[in-house]
Amino acid sequence: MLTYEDAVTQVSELLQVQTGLSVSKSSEEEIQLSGALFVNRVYRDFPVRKHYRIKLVIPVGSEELPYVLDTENQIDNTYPHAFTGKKLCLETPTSIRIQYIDGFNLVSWVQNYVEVYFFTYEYYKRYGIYPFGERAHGYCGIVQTYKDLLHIDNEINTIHVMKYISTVKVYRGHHRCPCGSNKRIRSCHGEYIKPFYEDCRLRKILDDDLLECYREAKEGK
Amino acid sequence: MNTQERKNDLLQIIEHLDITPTMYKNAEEKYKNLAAYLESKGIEADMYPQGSFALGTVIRPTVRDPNAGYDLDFVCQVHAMREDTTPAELRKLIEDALTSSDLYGGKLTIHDECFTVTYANIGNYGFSIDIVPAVNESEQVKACLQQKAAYPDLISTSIAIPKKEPDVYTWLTNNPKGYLAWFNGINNPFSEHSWENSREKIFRENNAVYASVEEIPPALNRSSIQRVIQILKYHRDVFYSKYPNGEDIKPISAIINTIVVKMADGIRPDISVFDLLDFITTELAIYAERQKLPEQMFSSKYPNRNVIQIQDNKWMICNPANPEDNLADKWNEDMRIPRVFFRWCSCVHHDLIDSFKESDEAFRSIVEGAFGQKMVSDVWGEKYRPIPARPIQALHAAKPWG
Ligand SMILES: [Zn+2]
Ligand SMILES: [Zn+2]
Repeated sequence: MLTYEDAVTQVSELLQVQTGLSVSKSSEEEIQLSGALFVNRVYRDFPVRKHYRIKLVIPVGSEELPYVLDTENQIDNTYPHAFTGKKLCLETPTSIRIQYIDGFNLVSWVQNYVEVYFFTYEYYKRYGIYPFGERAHGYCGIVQTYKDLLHIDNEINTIHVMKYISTVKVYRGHHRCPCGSNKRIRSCHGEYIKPFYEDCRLRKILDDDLLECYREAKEGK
Repeated sequence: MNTQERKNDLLQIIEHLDITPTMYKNAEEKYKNLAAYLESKGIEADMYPQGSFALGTVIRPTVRDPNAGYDLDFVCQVHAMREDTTPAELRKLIEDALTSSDLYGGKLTIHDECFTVTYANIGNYGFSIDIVPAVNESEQVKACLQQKAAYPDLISTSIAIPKKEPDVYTWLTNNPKGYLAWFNGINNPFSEHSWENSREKIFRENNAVYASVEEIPPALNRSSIQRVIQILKYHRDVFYSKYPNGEDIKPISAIINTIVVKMADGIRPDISVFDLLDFITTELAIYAERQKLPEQMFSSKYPNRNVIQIQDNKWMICNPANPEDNLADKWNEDMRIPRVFFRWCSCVHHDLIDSFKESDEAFRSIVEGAFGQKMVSDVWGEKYRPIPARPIQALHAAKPWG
């Protein structure tokens, strides 16, 4: 969550590195940036150097994360991860929220999520494969995010571990690990589970995501 | 922007990967010594180059290792007919001769189907010689092949080589001499066209190696056909290195050679390298439609397209020198192979033809994607204004979702 002052400061930092963008709207609810984003990134010896026309919306004083609109249809709509609604499919909010749990940083978010999104798009268009993998759509993608975070080998066991964290309120290292290994937590996934007991903000994110998963699963999505 | 200059600069990268005249001289010397050694051991055989060394399409395989040497392939054809020996005996004969040598024993790697002799670096790079043992194919098999062959005259040079099956060695028919004859038949007029320029350039750049222009071996000449093959092979190596199973799915060089030469057959031999590349990649984009169009519709829409065929629902690229050899065999085992192949072809066109109309910076960036950043800076330095790109760390990189 950004206050208006924070947002203004972070926007001016961003405009110093992304000189093709400028503020197109600024209010107590949101700041909008428009113009050309320069992506200049390389992975596996494949560089992408291109400008993309975008609109970037930064909600102010709300839990909602910033998002990007592809204003000139540069993303081919046959790309499996083009948009949800009109927003580019950047990453699960879970990953982004956890990454910025100690404070949101707009410059870093643009580099790690927006630039990487466009890079991934170009790489996929050329090679037909995702350089860093992809997330399944909907709540399955959210479960996959926890699967990565918790280092668990499949989605079903990930849901067991998420349920365990959400219902058992105190960390108990001597419990059987909910991943199904039959080992004690402390000699199994303890290292990855413990942070959710030490930081109530992390736990809140997990509780909210689990509720969302139940809701979507019920609706049969 | 100057398109001609860009084309020359691209060729410079390929020349950088080609075998140098010094290296060529050395490789010739080494393989002739090897042949002489085998003779001294009482093995009567002809040693001759096959593959890229024979065809003049060598490139250093720098993608898996920037300092990689040249891999040169040779056949050691023992003076015997297939029925005179067994594949295991033949293999053993050559293996024993090589392992018992003080000179070659230590440089030798024994593989199932060939022997590799690795030489120390000369100048910057080393090279290795791959020896495939062979005998003359039987008259009976040759007669049979002649019946089916598109070019029956080529069959007489067919050989039999040991092929490893799970627990025995069997014979496999091959015909590198016939392939070379077919290749030369089409390539020669193109070669004549480039010879004068080629040899003057080689002489200018290697006056320490040759005393006069007449000394330059014609084998160092590179026609537009040979250059296009080299470009495609290197682009392929870089492109397929991005796939986890790239080595298994990339088109073998024989596919590239065959497609380029078949398509060039009948074309004006004075065509430039990039006009030929444009023509071939445009043709390949047509062949790509074979993936979607029913065969009948394809052949009525595009008559006389026989380089890459579909017969009985199977992909086919015929080896002109061996009617039993479908170079595209693997394409029928895994659908992804033809799919990625045609994707690759369209990227070649994008990177090395369409890029000529881009700005300097964009051109540089595209070529870096095509040939790798290090290779491009090694040859071009700072030309076309490169802008260093910030690397992405894979470990926590964003995955698209939603
Ligand atoms: Zn998506
Ligand atoms: Zn566990």
